[in-house]
Amino acid sequence: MSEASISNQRPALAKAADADLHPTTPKLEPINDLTSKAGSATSDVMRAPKKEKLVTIKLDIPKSVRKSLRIEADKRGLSVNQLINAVLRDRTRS
Amino acid sequence: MPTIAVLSMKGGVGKSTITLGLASVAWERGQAALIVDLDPQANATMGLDVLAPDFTTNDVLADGRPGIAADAVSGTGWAPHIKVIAAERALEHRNTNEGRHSALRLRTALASLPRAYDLVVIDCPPSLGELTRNALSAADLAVVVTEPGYFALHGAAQAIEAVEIIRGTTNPGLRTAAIVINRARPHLAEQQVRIAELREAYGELVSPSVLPERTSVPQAQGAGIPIHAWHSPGAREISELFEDLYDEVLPDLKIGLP
Ligand SMILES: Nc1ncnc2c1ncn2[C@@H]1O[C@H](COP(=O)(O)OP(=O)(O)O)[C@@H](O)[C@H]1O
Ligand SMILES: [Mg+2]
Repeated sequence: MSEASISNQRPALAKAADADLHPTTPKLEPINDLTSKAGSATSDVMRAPKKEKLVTIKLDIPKSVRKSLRIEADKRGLSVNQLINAVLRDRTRS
Repeated sequence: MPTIAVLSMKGGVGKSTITLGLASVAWERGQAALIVDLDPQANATMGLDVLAPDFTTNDVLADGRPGIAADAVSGTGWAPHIKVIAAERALEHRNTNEGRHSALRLRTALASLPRAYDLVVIDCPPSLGELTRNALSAADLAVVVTEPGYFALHGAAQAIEAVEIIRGTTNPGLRTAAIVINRARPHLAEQQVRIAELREAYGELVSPSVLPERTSVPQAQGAGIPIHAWHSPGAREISELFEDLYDEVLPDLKIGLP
């Protein structure tokens, strides 16, 4: 098999998950710590504490960030919605 | 073909300037060069007149698959034969040990890519951390940059020690090609003492191409053009010294000029 056909088969390079994070931003790794504030199961990360009402917000983000979010969420077995909830909850300390 | 890492202990001594200077010689001579920017400050990227590259060394190192660096090669504003793998601020995330074979990520990602170029130059960040370890692990030759100041000898010694450590661990083929003194103002007695100290300690390793301080250097960099394309007596002087350095570091690449 030629080198060209090998490289055609491998998935192309994607932007790194942290490409849009400022270097001083704490790493996203300890997301389980974030989720533990809401509960121990990963699906709890999107659940508001107690019976709080959920609201929908519209957000404009660069395509590249959405791509990073999808990759990061995939890695953690979460939905993008869950990941964003976890990050926002951590950032706003609520 | 040869891969050169340009490093120093400190920032602001001239790593990016020498990276761009070597690239400028390649530009002038029509040789194919790839600049790999491993400094999150991305000064070499800017000096090569690259705007909004699709991918950067951060993406390459985060991915790490063999040969993936080929996907991140961008064109530059200089010429089609001068290419870059750009840097970006987020590259700072990669300056920490990422586990086993962490220092070999760049080498793995580059794989056979250097064979497509006459010259590959890796511009290092101003520290001897994980990014510089990656540069040295991927390089055949190291060029150490120093200023002729009070800490010149100390700084050069630290950088050369880094080269030795990498030679003894991940990259037995690595060698120091030259110690380059940059921003010299030879009329200053203090600097003469420092240059003599370096020569005494490192002999012929200290390049005879001592680069003087010239305003054309930041001017050409700011304009995003090769120093060879900047028309001033200072630029001409520096350009010739870069040519001498190029021939010293890469003697096999010396070719007859028309
Ligand atoms: N020989 C020189 N003469 C004048 N200015 C220089 C010279 N070498 C470097 N500079 C300037 O000094 C600054 C730092 O140099 P740079 O190459 O970016 O250092 P480093 O990459 O080691 O941090 C830059 O603005 C550059 O234009
Ligand atoms: Mg630099």
